[in-house]
Amino acid sequence: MLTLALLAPSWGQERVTVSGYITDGSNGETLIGANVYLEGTTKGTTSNVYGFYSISIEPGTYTLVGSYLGYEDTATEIGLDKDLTINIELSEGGGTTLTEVVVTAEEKDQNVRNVQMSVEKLDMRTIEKVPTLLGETEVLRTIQLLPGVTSVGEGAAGFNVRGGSIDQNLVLLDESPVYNSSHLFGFFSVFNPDAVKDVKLYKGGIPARYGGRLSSILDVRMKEGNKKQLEVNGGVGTIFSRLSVEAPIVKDKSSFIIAGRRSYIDVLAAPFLPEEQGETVLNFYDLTLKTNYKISDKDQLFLSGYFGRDNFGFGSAAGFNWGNSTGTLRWNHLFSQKLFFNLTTYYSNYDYQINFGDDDQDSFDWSSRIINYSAKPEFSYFISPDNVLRFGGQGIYYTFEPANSIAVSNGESIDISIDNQFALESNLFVEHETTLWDRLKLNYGLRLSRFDYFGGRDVYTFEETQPGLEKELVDTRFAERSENVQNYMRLEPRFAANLTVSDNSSFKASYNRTAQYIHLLSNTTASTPVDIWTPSTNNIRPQMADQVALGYFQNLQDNTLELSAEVYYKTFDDLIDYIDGADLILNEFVEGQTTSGDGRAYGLEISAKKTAGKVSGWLSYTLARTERLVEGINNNEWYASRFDQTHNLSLTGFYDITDRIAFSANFTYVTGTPATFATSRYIQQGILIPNVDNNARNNVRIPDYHRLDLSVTLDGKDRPNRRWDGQWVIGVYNVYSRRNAFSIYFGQEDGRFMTNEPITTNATRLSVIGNFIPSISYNFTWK
Amino acid sequence: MKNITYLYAALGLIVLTMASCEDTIEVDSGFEESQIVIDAWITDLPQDQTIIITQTQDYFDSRVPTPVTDAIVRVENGGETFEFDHTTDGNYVWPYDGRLIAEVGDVSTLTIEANGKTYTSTAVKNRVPEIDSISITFEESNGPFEEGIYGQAFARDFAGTGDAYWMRSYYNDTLLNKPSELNLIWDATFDPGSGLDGVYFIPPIRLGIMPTDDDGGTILYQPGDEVRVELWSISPLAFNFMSIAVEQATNGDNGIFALPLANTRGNIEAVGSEETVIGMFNVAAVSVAEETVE
Repeated sequence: MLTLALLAPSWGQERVTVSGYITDGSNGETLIGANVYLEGTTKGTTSNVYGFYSISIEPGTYTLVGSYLGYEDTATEIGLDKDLTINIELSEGGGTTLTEVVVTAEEKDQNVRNVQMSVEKLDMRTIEKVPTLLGETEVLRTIQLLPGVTSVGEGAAGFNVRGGSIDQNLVLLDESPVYNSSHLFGFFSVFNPDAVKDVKLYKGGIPARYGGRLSSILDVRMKEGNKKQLEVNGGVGTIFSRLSVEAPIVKDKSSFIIAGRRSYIDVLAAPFLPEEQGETVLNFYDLTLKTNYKISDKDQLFLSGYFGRDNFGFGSAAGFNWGNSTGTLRWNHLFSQKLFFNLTTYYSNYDYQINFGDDDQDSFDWSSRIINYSAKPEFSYFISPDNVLRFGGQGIYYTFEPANSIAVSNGESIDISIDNQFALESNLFVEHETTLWDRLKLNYGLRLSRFDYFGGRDVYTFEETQPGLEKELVDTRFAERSENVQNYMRLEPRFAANLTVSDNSSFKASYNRTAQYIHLLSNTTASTPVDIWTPSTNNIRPQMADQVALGYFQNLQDNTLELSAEVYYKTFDDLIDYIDGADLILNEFVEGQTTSGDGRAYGLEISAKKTAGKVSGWLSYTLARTERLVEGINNNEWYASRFDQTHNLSLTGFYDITDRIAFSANFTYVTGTPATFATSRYIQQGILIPNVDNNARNNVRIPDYHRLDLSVTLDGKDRPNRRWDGQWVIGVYNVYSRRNAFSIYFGQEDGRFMTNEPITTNATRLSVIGNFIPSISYNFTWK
Repeated sequence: MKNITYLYAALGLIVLTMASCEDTIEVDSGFEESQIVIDAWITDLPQDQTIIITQTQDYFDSRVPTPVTDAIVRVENGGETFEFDHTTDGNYVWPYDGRLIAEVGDVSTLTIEANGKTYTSTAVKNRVPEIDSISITFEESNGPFEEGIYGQAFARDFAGTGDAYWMRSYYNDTLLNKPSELNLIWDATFDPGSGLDGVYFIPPIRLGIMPTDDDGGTILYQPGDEVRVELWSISPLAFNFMSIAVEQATNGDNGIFALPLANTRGNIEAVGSEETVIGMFNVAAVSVAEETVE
């Protein structure tokens, strides 16, 4: 079929190609997913992630139209008798639309016409409008307002997509994976809103060019930097102060952006800390950089980087810090007007350090990291507007450093490091997007992935003796660095179809299989920064998932009201789980602490978006179930996973009161997540111990969660030629001060009890946010 | 190295103190039926040995456990039998008669007949190192540590991995028995798998002999205080049992990083039945040190 589709266009008439880049005329930023079409024909396309488009058609005279929501259309008359390069600059709509909220960045009817389903795209301007905790614009918390995306609770790192755990999301910042996307545990994400251009989340129907994680791809693209003039953005918030500078280096050819943020809780808290604890350190910061150079019309280079860190410390007694760093170098090359090539190379690192004590007698130092290098060539062949072939591959070389650690006890020093692990993940993919009979769009592809786990350390063999118990170590041997200890190969078919019913409605269907070779070892409710990533080994198999989804998409009122409903069913194999009392960190034999099981998730997601007008916003509703089956847990029966939420409703609304004043509100309602409650208690050696009588897991639910947030944005007066533009944002999080339960724990009351003294036991509700939280922040732009 | 979780849980709490809150709430335990609980930790200390047999109760039933009073309890080792007779409240006592129940390396057998069933278990008495000293020192303030008198119990783990101990401390004749005060040791550190072996116990364990207040802060020693430390050898199964017990009893301290609720795994079985029996049988070798704070 693939060969036929490739050959098909050549049977037709001679074709010529018009191609180019679509940019924002005001700052030169490329526009992702902008619409380009030839007026009066059905031929059109959208720009790719680099803003590139290509249309091949019979020679003739056409009107080439470029459009993007929130921007004015441009129309160019072209006489197309040979291949042409037309770069399109769009400018934002006049006056009033500047403050108009754009709920979706895509062209009006993309959601209906695109073959992609289960994809959520958010524009930074939308994200900035959503009321948030302490007024900090948050990419990761905003995507949790979309259907199918949940979290185990406030302050928890990461997010869960359609029943997947947090490590099943591939979080990409300019194509480089970010291994821990949170600052301050899970309250804030590492993405600086000043540097982000575009956010896209794939929950299902994942195209073959993406892979490596089971449940989702979060593709965050950074701004390139203003190519026209110097621009400074910044803000003073409750948590962060931000500053970004962007400017052309060579006008219209090269530009840069540098954006930094730093928390100042420590500055605020300093006066309240006792003087002798003056050395207490508590801060987090990040720095995001990007530059690009247009070598010629055919070649462009992009270099981007991120560096962030969270620091905690108590004088010389204890210290703890963690952070990511990433670097991406990309080269776009046009082999021809139809063949677009991109080579991405990246480096990504996540590490943390912990230390206690600093004298020669007693101390403890521990650091851990995951490093990887990758090269990813990718070709896009624009055969005709409705016929695109993408193919390429990727190699990722991993080094896992579980522990570099020295413990000194009473003057004796012992190296308790755990040897590094080395692995190579590689894949090849081919993906074909085509349209049949003008109504049926298809995107189908195949991904072949492979994982090689190498030696260079002791290799252990564990055997399961009894499900749910620690696995037994049956063999230890040293494997040479060059030895291929274990390898896995998986074939991942991908398929998506769109059957257009009418101009504004369509049915979509998709299937994808995904494989995941690296895993985050975590058994706490919220993931901690010291959780380590581990490769698949001879004892840990790759995780696999299969998902089918069906959807109906309908737009109403001239495409300003977008409705969609999707159902999905997903199964998981070889999901990683842990024995009771598992010890996952600083454990040489950690593979023996893991076990594996199956999972299933299914649900209905409904979304309604109003994209234009004085009142806009969206409603998301998800009805879902996520379950696990693990031998040795819950009497070998299916149980609801920790992030199973039956109902999840969120309503986000924006109201433009005047050109300068906008009001935003957000309401969330979520069914309480499952938890395991104690049924009985007993005493052993004077210690009161809770017990779950039938050995059930997640046998009850914590109370339902609901919350309302509000904010008001006041923009400065819009005067022509004014270079400084300021904005105040005043917000309240958790307006009615609900004490939502994060968890319920069980324990005895404080105090020391003598034998034969009755001990009182209680259930305690932990609310991470127990009050309403007001905030005020000021943002500015200078150019 | 689970204690590291306390560090960042503590750090997180500092930040969240303003906003987070905890409330005692009413929940239904769903408790249905009692089970037998066997608390059989015996030692080679030259004193009466006690095994306690009780029943589980509703988690929110804040009373003393119901005792099992009509059981027959005995421990056997190499042909010698030690009878434990019921005294009060489910306590079965073997009055010390000068005999040693087991030598290091001996396998002892526990047999209990109760409620028409027979329960059995075996335990090996493992080795225990001497406590070299209890060092009492005055320390200046450093980070979270206040200025004052601190005590540390120094003992060196045997070379070779797999030794488990329980350090039980008394402060002015009071046993430190809060869940957070339980001082479990694997080789010279908290958990297996780290490879730390054959050295002196690490500082948090050495300092773990000190009492804590209701907020988990260390109560500093005062001149005249009497300190007694017992180091018990325990089996790997007993270590696993008590580790899970401590994790569960102190899980509230972990905040948003709580562990899943899990049951302890005992080493006692009901003869001819698949029934899981709650409880542990351990025979400990004990070394002791005492010190008075000056």
